[in-house]
Amino acid sequence: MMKTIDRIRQFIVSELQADVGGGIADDDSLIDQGIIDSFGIMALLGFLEERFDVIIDGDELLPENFATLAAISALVEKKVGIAALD
Amino acid sequence: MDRNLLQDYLEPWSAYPERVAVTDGRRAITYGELMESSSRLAGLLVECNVGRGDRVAVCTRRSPDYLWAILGIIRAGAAYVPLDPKAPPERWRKIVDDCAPSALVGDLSSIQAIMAAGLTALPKILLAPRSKLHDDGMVVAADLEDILAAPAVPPVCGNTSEDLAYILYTSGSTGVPKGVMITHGNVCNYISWAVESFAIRTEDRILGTAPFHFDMSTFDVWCALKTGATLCLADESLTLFPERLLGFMEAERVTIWKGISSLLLYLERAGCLGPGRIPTLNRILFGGEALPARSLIRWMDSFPNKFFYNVYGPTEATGISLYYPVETVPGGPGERIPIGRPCKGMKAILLDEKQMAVREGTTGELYLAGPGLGAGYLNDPDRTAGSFIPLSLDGGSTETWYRTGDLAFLRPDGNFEFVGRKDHQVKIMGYRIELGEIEQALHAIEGIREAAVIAADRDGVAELVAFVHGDGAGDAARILSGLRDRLPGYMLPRRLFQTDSLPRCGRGKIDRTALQRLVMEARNATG
Repeated sequence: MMKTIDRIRQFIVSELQADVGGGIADDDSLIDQGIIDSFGIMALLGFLEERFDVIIDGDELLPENFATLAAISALVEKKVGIAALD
Repeated sequence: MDRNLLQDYLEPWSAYPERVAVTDGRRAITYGELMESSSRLAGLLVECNVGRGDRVAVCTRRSPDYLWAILGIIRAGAAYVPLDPKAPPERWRKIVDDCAPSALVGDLSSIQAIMAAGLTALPKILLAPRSKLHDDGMVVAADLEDILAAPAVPPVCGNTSEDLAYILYTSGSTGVPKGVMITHGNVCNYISWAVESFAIRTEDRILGTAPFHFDMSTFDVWCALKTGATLCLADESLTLFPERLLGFMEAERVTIWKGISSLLLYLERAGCLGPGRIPTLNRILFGGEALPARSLIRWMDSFPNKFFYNVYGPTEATGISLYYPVETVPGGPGERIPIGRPCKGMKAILLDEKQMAVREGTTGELYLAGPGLGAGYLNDPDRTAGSFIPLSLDGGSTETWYRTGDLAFLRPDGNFEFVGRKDHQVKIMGYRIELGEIEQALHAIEGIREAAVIAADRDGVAELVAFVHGDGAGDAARILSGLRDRLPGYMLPRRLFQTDSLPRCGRGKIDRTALQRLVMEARNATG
């Protein structure tokens, strides 16, 4: 099964049409490099919520949670884990 | 009345040189500094033979420097042409070819990007020291030190109200962006109305979230300069993170905001609205596209003491042409929020295909007239003649009307309600996009024989979907990279479908309803 981080990577590359030449590394800065912009963030949230069946709360919409693929993936995995415990 | 921007605006500044004109939260520029720097930039431009009737391109990030850059250009008597620093080089080139600017004023990162893109012939004025350019081979006509050493130009320019103040480029259906020409008189009229209608005062702190190459920023910049208020520029990264944006609004104690509807929708969806937040903000104007009533209800329930206004207006008519003060919370989530009535001096009518008035209560195309109407499209008399039309209604005197392409109807209470677009123009995040421009860019890519683009609804938000046919239609990565070279990010399709042929209607026109159906089916299949 594809790992969470790779699913997110695939979405960003194929759906956000980010200009990422050699692909996106886990620790590339998504915001500073303009890979996620105001047009992409809503689509990304929709994808995360739908694909992983989680709800991203407003107070989690922070630069530190969306700075890199690793950060987004960690947030999603934490939320999926919490959902499983419920 | 013959008015220009400077007569009306600069005079009072001497009374408050210490007051902050603009800040981005990190750096602030006072009215005194704005006066001084802009006058020296104007002096330098005049020395470079820039004057009345000329155009000067300006390209900066969202920085306070933008204000003295455009003021310097205006004080030299020229019109400013804002470029999107994030646009692809191809688009910069088309705009520069069209408006033939005498010079380009820009900050370090923008000038470096523009020079790297090969636009070297244009004289460049750098709003930073030359020594910061990372490539020794890059040559600029002047830098910050030269600007500061230039003679200060007295703050009176000789422009008439018909002279151009700025040119904004919007998406054009033929693949070339259209330059909308706006005069000093247009801006003076619009801003005077806005200041009066929204009671903007010196004490106000105006939140700026609109990019400078977008007509929504005219309100932010010029309302501040007119009244001596402070413009608080939010960095683009703030608009990604609702909590951060609200934090900025609270820290800067902003009092009035004109934002695009999609940003209001985003803040509402993020769930960070609530009593006690942004207490100083008391007037919220939203526009650029329709805001779903559901979202407005949440805003109004969260902030019963704030004033909300739905505003409407095409770039061609300068700023706001119609507005609707929302006095009561919409009755239900399905309700449509009217765009209201024309602003002072403006007129709005609904006409049919034969340019006859439609029957009361029926849908027609919205036409606008009045002092907000710009001077048409640069270098395009045919398109101007097709959109700015002299009409004599009811046998009265002839007047120029701007044909908006928007469909609307008049409600019995006298307010207009927006219905949709007549043509293939769509709005994505408040940006006007001609689907034809994306289709042209697709056609320019080798191996594509046919292309069609539609805007499909995805969870209440419009997204662009492209259909392509041809030998090279299967190579999505190459197509997207080709598009990226030609179009700004907001015009890139979110999905690309390869088809054997495009569905057509009886007369050979592309069947866009069938394309919408294909998108729905594909979504259901993968969903």
